Amino acid sequence: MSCSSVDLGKAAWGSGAASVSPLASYVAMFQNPTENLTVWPLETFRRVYLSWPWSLSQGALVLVKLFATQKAEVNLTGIVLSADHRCAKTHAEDPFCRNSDWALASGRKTYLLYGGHTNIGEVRA
Amino acid sequence: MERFERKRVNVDGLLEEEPMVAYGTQMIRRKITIRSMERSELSEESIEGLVAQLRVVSWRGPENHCTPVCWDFAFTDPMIEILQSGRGAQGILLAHMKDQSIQDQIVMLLGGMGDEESIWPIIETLTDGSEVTIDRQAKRLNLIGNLALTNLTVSEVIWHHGGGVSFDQCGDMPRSCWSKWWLDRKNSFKVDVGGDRIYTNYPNYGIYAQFGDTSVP
Repeated sequence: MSCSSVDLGKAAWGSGAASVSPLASYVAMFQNPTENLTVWPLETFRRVYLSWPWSLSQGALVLVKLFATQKAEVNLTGIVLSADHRCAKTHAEDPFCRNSDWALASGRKTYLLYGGHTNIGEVRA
Repeated sequence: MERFERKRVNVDGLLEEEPMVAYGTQMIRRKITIRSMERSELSEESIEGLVAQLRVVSWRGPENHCTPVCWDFAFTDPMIEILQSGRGAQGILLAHMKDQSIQDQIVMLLGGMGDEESIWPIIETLTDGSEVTIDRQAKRLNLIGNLALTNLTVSEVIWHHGGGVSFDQCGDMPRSCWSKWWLDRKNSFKVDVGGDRIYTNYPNYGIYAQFGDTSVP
């Protein structure tokens, strides 16, 4: 599944007939004002009450999928790239700075490189 | 880390892959915490083998498919491997410069990993003339030569650094424009010393690429 922002929105609010999203309730509330004058507080409460656990679980699922970080040991060959603007100390204020000043281009993928003095000490020329 | 800059290396470490959505597109942020790193140069025989593959694997060439700029270089696998073999490949590529069957690829690759030694040989592949006076192959070589020379020189001979719609700075005279630029600087110019690599409408590539925080899956 492609997790575009559109998919995220659909998944989070639900689109099936069995579920009614809070957003749909609020929209419906304004589509027939006369009817809603008499039933909307109870109906809206019922719909929100019934649908929020489903929406919440779907939203959480998407968020977990989006932000789950996978870790693995790797051995890669590639070429070391450097950023033109080396501003690791200031990158919070500078939109042009990267989170790493170094990267490895290996095949068609780019990997940001991190390593403090402790492990860079093991680097062999 | 500086001593490994633009060198081919072998890296051991812990990879973290973090999916993220940027502007509606799924991207992945890949981080490696380095355990060890060592030089890993390709042998001359290996590079010659990759050059031989250039003759077999056809290259569509660069295309800009939107305005002002969405460049797609469509690099083939052997081209990627040569770009990532580092400057050690420059001499071998220059030796194949006259090979008409792969000259376009050689120019593109030298623009991605060469140095000032490659500038004049690339200029020599350019042709002055209008749409009606030069052929399709010459136009293609002019485009590729302009991309390569801009990557090496970070100049504004063809593309300017600023934003907005890109306009043609040199017209139909790329060979003359680049020759003049080079003759004015050839005694002092060094690739990647000074200059602003941040262009709005020109894409860096090869070992001079500006890398982003994320890349496609």
